Amino acid sequence: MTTLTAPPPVRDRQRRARPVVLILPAAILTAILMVIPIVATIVRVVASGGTGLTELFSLPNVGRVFLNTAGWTAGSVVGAIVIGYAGALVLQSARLRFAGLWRGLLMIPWIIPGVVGATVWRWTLSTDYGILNQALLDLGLIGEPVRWLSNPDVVLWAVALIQIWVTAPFVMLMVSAALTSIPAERFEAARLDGAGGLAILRHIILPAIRTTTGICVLTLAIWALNSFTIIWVATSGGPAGASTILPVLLYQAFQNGDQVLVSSVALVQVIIGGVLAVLFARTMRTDLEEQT
Amino acid sequence: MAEQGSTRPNGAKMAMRPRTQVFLGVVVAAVLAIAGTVVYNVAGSQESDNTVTWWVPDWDYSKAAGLVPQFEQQHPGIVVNLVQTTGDTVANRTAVALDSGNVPDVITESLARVRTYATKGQLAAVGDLYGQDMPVADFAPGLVDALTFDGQTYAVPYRWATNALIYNPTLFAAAGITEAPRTWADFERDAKLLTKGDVVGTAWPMKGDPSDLTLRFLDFAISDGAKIAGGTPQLTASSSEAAVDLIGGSVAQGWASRSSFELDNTGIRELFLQGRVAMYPGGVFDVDAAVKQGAPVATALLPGPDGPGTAQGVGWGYLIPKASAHQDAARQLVSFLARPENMAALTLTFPARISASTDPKFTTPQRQPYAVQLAQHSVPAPNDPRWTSRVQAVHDKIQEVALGRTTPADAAAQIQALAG
Repeated sequence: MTTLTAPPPVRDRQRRARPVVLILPAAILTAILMVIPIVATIVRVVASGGTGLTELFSLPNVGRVFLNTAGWTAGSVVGAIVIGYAGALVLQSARLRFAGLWRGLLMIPWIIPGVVGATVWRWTLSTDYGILNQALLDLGLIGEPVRWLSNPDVVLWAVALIQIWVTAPFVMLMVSAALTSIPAERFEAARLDGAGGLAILRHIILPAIRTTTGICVLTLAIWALNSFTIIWVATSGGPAGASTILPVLLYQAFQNGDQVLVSSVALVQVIIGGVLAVLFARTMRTDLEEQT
Repeated sequence: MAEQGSTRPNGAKMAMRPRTQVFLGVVVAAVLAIAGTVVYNVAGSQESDNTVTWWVPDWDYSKAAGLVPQFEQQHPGIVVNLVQTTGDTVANRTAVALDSGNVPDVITESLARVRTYATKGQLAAVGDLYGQDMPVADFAPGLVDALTFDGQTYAVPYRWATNALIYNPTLFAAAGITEAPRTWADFERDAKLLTKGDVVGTAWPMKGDPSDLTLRFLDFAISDGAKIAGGTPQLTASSSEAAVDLIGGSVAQGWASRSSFELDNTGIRELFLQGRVAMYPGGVFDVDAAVKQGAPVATALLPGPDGPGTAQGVGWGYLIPKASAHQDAARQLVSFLARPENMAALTLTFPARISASTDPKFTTPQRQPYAVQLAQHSVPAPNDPRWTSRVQAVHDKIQEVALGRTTPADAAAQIQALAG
């Protein structure tokens, strides 16, 4: 059977076009702000005949920079997830009093400017002035000051600690919101079945907020990959490059006026960030599908 | 309630809440205000053709603000627009401005970066400003030559200084040391004697700007036979090794602060003022700060291998970008600023012109060794962009020695390769 479909009336077409028209200015602006710099970066790398990439991968410390970047990203993401989850679960507890006050206080690290937080931690971890070392010495936990920011074996984890301090409140906020979406009946049913706290966490909470976890991990990874201020303020990438990650390398190249190397590092970061962005978009889509 | 706004698909009108209307009104007003401000400023800047924009670092800003009215009074029709920069940001800001062509008319910039800009063809030649009123011979020896490339001079220096040795005479006396070290051997011996408890003999700026550390490295290397030719360091393996050993080795051995990795120039000065660093090569700024605070401070020539060491002269000067739209007015401003009395007023270290050095503020007892260091034991610092691009790598090699990860000889060989 053949059915004839009449062309959509003009009003319908206008109605369908309206969202596109409304979103067009923002889309054009975003394209200008994002596409032009990315294209300019690619053009600069290509125009240099690839010498920038050759220079980047010929740097004597390039392997260490990539390893540092991977370690820094993994460490700061895992740390922020663990602490953010713990904070959210504690704040969710019915036995906690003044939960709103605690939530507000715990958000402070995320609210204050990164440079302020990094400076506070730089002084806290200082070998000469640091109150952390002084406290550990007073408690008898260490015999001599730990060189948090000048020991190459420790420094990357010390600066990752600062990143965790800054970003864990974001995870806490996201997870807190996700936890409220879990029906209370599930917890009651689980308890009636004899489930303990760990079992509830493993079999109810974690699966229920899986998508939120994915979004948090990807967001934190992108932040860590683009993070510059904390490391620059705390260590300037030292000692001897032990805390140099890609954005720090990029800035050092910028300081030297080596624009080709700057573009090459930026391109590598764009590629890594692009992969994460695709994963992020897919996770978001899954989240939306689950919600609908 | 009356319906208002556009029609919904089902025929109903889409209502806009009053609060949304207010919000949109505020947004539109803000956008119009910003646009109006931009248009007004653009139109205003086009109207005043003789407005000279001068980028001034923060430490000179108040003095510059005092000099500008004098200039404007003497040059009717020229208006000076002061824009404050900072020592940390001026390099990047200048580079971006010169690359983009959106430039001020006069920039106060580090002389070490003049060659970088000049080789890119971004600076106007200012050699014609030197003459009877501003003779080259009145500037520190070799200074104008160091700013002249292919027969053209690209800057007018106004401030010039070297490091010298700053020490705490109270700590020296307590350690039984009667005079400042003159040689590297004295320096090491004294530093070891002074290192006790919370006090360390010396410290090095291993954090922050990498050129702070490499400046000291080069001072020692030049004292031991390295040269600077055409703005480029000509290092020798032995001079590099000696310099790396003095800095990196001192940290590894513990007679320089192991927390040097966490210290920049300011950090070292703070520890000195607290009596926790006994001596260090530093600038005259630090001496002024110590005198102001009433801290025990004395100065001496920089130690060398066998006697006074050589220090690099570093300084600041005035540049006129080639893309400046007000070349004549900019030149008049630079000529005015380069007068001895104005140079003395703006200089916190030492003036680039000898005739400006008679100001009493340059002849205090603590500044005397600096004046001798500058006049008798100094050379202009390198300004070759190739060296500048290797500073971070050289800095890291010195740190490797300080961490005990490599030997001074190996680090020197790697630095030789980098510098070559």
